[in-house]
Amino acid sequence: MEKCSEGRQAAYKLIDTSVFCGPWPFRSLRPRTLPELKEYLAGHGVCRAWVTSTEAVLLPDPMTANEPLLVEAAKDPFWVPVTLLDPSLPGWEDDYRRSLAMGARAVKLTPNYHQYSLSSPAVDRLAGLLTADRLPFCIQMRMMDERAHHPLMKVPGVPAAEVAELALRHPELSVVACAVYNAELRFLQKAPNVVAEISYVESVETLLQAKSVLGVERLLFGSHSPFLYMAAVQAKLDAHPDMINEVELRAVCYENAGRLIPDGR
Amino acid sequence: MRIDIHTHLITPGAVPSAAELARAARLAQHFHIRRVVLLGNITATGGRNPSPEDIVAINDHTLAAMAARPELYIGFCYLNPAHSPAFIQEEIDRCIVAGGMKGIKLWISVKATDPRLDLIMERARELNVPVLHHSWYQVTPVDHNGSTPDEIAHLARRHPGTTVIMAHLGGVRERGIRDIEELPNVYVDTSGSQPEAGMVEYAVRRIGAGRIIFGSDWPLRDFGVQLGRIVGADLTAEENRKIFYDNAAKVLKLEE
Ligand SMILES: [Zn+2]
Repeated sequence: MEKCSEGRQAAYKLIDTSVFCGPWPFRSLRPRTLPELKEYLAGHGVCRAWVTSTEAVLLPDPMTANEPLLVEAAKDPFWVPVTLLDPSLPGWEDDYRRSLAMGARAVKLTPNYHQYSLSSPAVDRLAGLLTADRLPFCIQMRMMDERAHHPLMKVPGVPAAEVAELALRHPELSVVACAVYNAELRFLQKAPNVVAEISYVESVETLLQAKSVLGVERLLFGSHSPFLYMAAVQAKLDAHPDMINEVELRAVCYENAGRLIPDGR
Repeated sequence: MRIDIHTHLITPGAVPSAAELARAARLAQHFHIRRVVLLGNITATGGRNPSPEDIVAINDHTLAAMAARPELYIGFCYLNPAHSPAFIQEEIDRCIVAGGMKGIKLWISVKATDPRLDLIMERARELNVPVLHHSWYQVTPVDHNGSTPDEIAHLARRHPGTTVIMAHLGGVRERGIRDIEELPNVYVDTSGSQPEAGMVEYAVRRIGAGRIIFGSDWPLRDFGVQLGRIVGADLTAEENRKIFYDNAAKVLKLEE
């Protein structure tokens, strides 16, 4: 297979901290089932993946989609199941407990699809639960480039400053910003307990630039599969060794993610 | 071997910095990009509706980069169709006929449907050079006079003898490909937005690999990521070679 370059990243296993499974009405996504997705990700060197249901973003009750995914994912330690909750929905605390009982290892929110703010009291209550349970809180900034949304369903990105504010209110909580743009990284800087996955971060030398803003200890590999070409996201790891050394690269590829959600259940 | 049909530099004014030229050369080499088409420092100088002085500065900037790294850079002449025909002709003569640039770049100063483009398109046909035009379909507000792919199709229909490179496959998406499907004088470059899975394969299915040209929009983007959407696409070796090299070499009339 042709490679982007000689590719240092091939030497490292990857923990992919943001993948989705299921249908999405605005793109014909492939692969679409967990076994197919695993085969695809493993073929790109991924040894573990944090997975969320795409359908949970749009169905009126996200648990309708979370539950089957959690059942499937529990069968294979490759998956780190991430339940997608809507804290504006009555009974979300039960959804949280039920998700954890079914094996969820983190919670993801899509505040702009579910139309609430990260400063709403329910989000703070959920943050409190996650802090107590020592689980990461993933905030999905966007699902697609806002310019390419369906004209009748334009969903703006989550304001990055609100992610930082949330994290500052909960200093013991680990917050993961997913699909964050390069220009938004600087808003996350001030909250040391926010990390970012790199699927949407892009600049002239992506990893070097992201390191200069957040530091490698606050960067995670995330591919936003199957929305994006995996090879394109992986190419970000191919930074010059003088600029990103081996220790730093390992941190981004898997060590930081492994600390947030350790192996085993 | 790769040619990148869509790059910029970002130092303002008429003189590129040695540092940005060195960085471009280092990264191009790292990613096996042998030739780089430079479309000007247009985001750093002149803005959306550049003056004639801005145009001269931008093209001087490109000529300086070509002179500094002739083995790497191929320049395109940046123009604002709102300027006088006399100035436009002069600038084309200075940059392409005398200066060795190999194409024309149009951005968002004037819509592609505007008859003021006709003179530029006619001159491009006479000189047998391509015109690379910005294009995007977006549901967010359009910047200044940004053109949509159906407007690029309008331009290409008015000038069937001129080669048009519609920029940003990642921005024009499926609808944009359909707009230009029946127009053999239109190519599309692969840059724009996130490397959305399936988009390159879609374009290959509709218009064939022979009309798709690798472009990165570096340094607004990362060479590796932008290459990755082609490397990561499900393509044959021949399709891959056409997109990365053959089509650009043909459009640019490279003899190498
Ligand atoms: Zn550009």
